[in-house]
Amino acid sequence: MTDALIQPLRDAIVEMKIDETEDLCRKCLDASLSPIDILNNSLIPALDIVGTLFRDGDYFLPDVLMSVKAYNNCYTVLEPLLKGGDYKPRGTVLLGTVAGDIHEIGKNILLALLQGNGFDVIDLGIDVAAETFMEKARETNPDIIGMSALLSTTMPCMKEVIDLFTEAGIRDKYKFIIGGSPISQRFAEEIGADGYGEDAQAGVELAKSLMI
Amino acid sequence: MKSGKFEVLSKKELQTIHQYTLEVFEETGIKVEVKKMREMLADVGCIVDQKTKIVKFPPRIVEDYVKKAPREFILCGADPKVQWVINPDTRVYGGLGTLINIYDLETGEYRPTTLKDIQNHLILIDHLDYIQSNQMDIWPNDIPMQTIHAQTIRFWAKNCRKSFGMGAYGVLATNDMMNMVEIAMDGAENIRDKHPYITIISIQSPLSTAQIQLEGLMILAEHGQPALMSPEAMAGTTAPVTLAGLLVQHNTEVLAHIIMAQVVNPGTPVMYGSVSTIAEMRRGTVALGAVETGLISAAATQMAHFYDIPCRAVAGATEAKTLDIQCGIERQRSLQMTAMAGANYITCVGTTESTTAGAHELTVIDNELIGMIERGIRGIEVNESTLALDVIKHVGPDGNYLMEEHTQKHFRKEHFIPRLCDRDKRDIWEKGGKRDMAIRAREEALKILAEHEPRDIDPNLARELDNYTEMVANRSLDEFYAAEWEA
Repeated sequence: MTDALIQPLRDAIVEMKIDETEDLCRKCLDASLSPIDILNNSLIPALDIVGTLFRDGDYFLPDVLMSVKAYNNCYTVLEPLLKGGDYKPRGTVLLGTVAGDIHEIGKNILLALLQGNGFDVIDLGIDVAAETFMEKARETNPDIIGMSALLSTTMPCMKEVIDLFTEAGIRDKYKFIIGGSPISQRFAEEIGADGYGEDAQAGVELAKSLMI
Repeated sequence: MKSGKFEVLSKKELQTIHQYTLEVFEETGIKVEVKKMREMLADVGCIVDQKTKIVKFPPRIVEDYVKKAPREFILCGADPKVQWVINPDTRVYGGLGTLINIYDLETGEYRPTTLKDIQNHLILIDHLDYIQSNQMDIWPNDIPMQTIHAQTIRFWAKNCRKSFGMGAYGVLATNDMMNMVEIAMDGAENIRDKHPYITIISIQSPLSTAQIQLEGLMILAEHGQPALMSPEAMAGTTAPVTLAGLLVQHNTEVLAHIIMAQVVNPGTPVMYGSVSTIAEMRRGTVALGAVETGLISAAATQMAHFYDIPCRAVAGATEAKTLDIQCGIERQRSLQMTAMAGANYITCVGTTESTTAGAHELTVIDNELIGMIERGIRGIEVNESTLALDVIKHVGPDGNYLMEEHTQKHFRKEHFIPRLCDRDKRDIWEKGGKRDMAIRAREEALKILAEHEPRDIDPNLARELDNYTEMVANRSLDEFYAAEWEA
């Protein structure tokens, strides 16, 4: 009985059936499956499969993002029910594109992939000032702060953010990760970030590794 | 969707080349190196001089018999379910060449070819999506010459689902080919309406025939199996230096062979072929990598379609000795020009040095190149869904399209997704070992070869093919020569 509901939901997420997943998820709940079981046996395995398909080159970003959308349709249903129970997100990530930069496609891909990997994500959007990063970090207490930049002219703002946290004496409360087209591992080391991902998938792996 | 063809001749120029061709047929004629063929041509009304072997064709014969060639035929693979329609509007790609040296896939060493190389080539073709056909492209140096055809046909039948073929090498070999293909396809009736095996007829320019090739053509025609008429006339040595002049001579040569096939058996499927090019004027050697090859192939395609016959043209050829920039430029240019001209059977993937050498890496690379070229030819599809008006409105200023369902639905068809061309960020490329395209192609080829599994064919057929191959192997070279007909 359970498999008869759990598997179709998992497959629907993998197959990007965004119009069907919410219904399938509600059917699972109607059949008295627990939210945590639905999450662990349908939603998370689905994204594992999607991750494998992406690594093997069969899935591309639009496929992954569509699967994440299908996942989110379910997660939105489950989230209020999960909050009371044993479920904890993998971690909380504060994301933003740094001041002066409005190129956020890469950041948004990372956002979707992080959500799809069990992270809670707070998105600060584009053109985010160092002070805003600080203010929001104090407010939401994330595990990781992620910054993106596409322009080489806005890269130095990443250093400004980390410097501001250092001056305030709260640098070590958070892990800083950075990414974007002009960014390199060397630059990450230079400005004292905790890690750098060369693409969104690498960013997810990085975030996971920092949570261990 | 407006996609223009690459054309190099006007309608009037095609007509002029045709008229001048008729004049060459009538006044100069063709040397026909097989007595039986000359007799058949005399019977239908050609003027034959048995002493000089020159046959002159009245215009009426030319026009009547060219019309007998079918517009279309079905090419199939060793797996008969795999089929392609060959006509002036379709396009397939294949290997073709006489590689006697190859870059070793494992060591990178340039060395003489072996039986293993043609076997690996057949496996690669079996797996590569954009290549539908191949010939005995690689000539093994490690087995007796008179067994090559039997060894390769046997391996093809057991390992490659796609179509195959080779040159017509005289009476005995061509009969072997027909016999073995009939065994492989489980009976002559299975190749009557669809054809797994396509044979190249090489033509001796200027205006002559090669005896063994002509014998082969006659045997093919008797079996109703497709023949590819392929002169390799070189502007400046075996043809006039002017390309228009080459085309007149080339046209006469191709049509003569098409007519002979139709005289033997009306309705025999044929292709109007071209391997013609220019001669290298410092040394008098062939220069298939030249830009003029593309022009001649395009013109040959137009001539073929003028007669409503499908065209085979050489492409992907280069004079480069290594997998360098010249190699890339020349193969890309000729493949693109030929495909855009609308040729129907485009050959010579995987080759270098005017198709006398090559590399498995290049077969894999050409596959990707063809994918890109075909994407280019497909052009831009315009309809309500592709115009994306709703999505543009929905996403609006400062948005992005990556997460739209429209993107997911369309990207695989709208974008060509390369396997070998690298588009990663430098960091990722460096982390992956800084591999260039040739290295990536080598890895792809090795992966395909490692994962290949032979076809599941009837063990009785397999045994028959083994027995036939053994019979051929036990023949002496003298038996081959003794089998030729009177010249």
